[in-house]
Amino acid sequence: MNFLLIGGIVSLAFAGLIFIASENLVSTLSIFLITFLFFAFLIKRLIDKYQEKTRRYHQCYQFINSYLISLSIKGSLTAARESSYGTADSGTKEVIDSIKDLDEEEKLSYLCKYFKFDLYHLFLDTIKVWREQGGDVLMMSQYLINQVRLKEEYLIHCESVHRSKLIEFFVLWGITLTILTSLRFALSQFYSRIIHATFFQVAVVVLFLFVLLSIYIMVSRIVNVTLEGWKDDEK
Amino acid sequence: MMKNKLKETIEFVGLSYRKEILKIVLITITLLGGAALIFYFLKNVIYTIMLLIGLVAVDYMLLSRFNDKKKMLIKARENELITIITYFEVYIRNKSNVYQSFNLLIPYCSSWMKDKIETLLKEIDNDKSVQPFVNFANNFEQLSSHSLLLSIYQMVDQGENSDQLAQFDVIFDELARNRHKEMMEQKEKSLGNMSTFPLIGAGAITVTLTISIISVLGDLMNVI
Repeated sequence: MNFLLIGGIVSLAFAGLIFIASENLVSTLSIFLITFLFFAFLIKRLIDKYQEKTRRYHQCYQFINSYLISLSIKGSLTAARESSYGTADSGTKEVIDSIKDLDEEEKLSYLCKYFKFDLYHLFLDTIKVWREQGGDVLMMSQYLINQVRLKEEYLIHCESVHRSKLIEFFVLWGITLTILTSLRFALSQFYSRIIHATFFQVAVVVLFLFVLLSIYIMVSRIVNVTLEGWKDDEK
Repeated sequence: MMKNKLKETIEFVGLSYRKEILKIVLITITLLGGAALIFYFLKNVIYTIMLLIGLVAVDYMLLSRFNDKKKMLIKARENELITIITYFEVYIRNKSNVYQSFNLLIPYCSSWMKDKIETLLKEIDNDKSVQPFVNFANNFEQLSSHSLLLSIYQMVDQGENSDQLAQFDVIFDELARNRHKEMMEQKEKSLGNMSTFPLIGAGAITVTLTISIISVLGDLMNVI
């Protein structure tokens, strides 16, 4: 997503609304600038981190699944890795390509720097046990696969909840801000007097800052998904 | 009695009782001082009462946050137990014994859980009865945690045979399913609450306009 574009559109919309509501150029420019910076830096940073985290988890889920299935069929780490490589996205393929000189076990161990999830470490432990003791790798990893799938289901559920709640949130704010601007025309006589009051001018700016605060809280809650092992300050 | 309970709660969440009480006392004194100054210099009873009401609200918030933190911490620890038991199950299925499996869980634990598991392992070394498992389960409030730990003890006592594993599976599955459901509900709830913000915004607009209109009407009345 291009946050500069989104930031630009939202800040223009906010600037337009605040100008209609207050007819104050200083407030308009301040809100325009604050909103733009808010989206271009703060929100962008939060969303980028969240997208990277969930992308890597989806990749980790696919990697573990296809690796274990191929391993159970072909019985070879190389074949299993090749099969997982086929399902990976370009970012993951790039990482796997960068370690092609390592042997199979080292490759798997190295990938725990990329798939920084506890479940990936469990996957490594399962592969280690399989190499040491043999057996049916699918039976051995049955519980691991279940847990990885449950986490994936949780993420998919979160994504669908995010979409519906975001629409609800923005529609409600849209209605609220429309009320503010429509009153400008409904109370035209009173409004020409109200608009010069310092209290009203301050209240309108505070309202827009409150909108930004609520967007920040909303985004913080959206990006807060539990994926054990991943730390948000990691790159 | 109440002081002991508060002290216990503050220390449970890992804060210093003295420091926290000192903070609350300082905030209270500052706000009380502010109210006294307003009353003395401005002679404004409404502002003074508003500040005193604010003081009560701030003190209530400051004191109740320890309980909220405690509840959150208890919940987080119970969630962590379920998460690590998930991993425990993977190790048990991969033929590690109970002791080895608990040992293997340590890298995935928070420092609190690590400490508790290390204590459990030390106790198991010295005591082969159910007591170390009961002690470990006592760190959690959820009743199912106790059943889970007891079923793990039975694995130690009677061997990790298929009956014991099946019993463990039943208890664990229920816990894991509840946790999964709870996590999803929690997500919906946390985002569902966000619709109150636009409502607060609408309320604020109404109040702002009402105050502005009243003040304009007041000005008009003065002119007449």
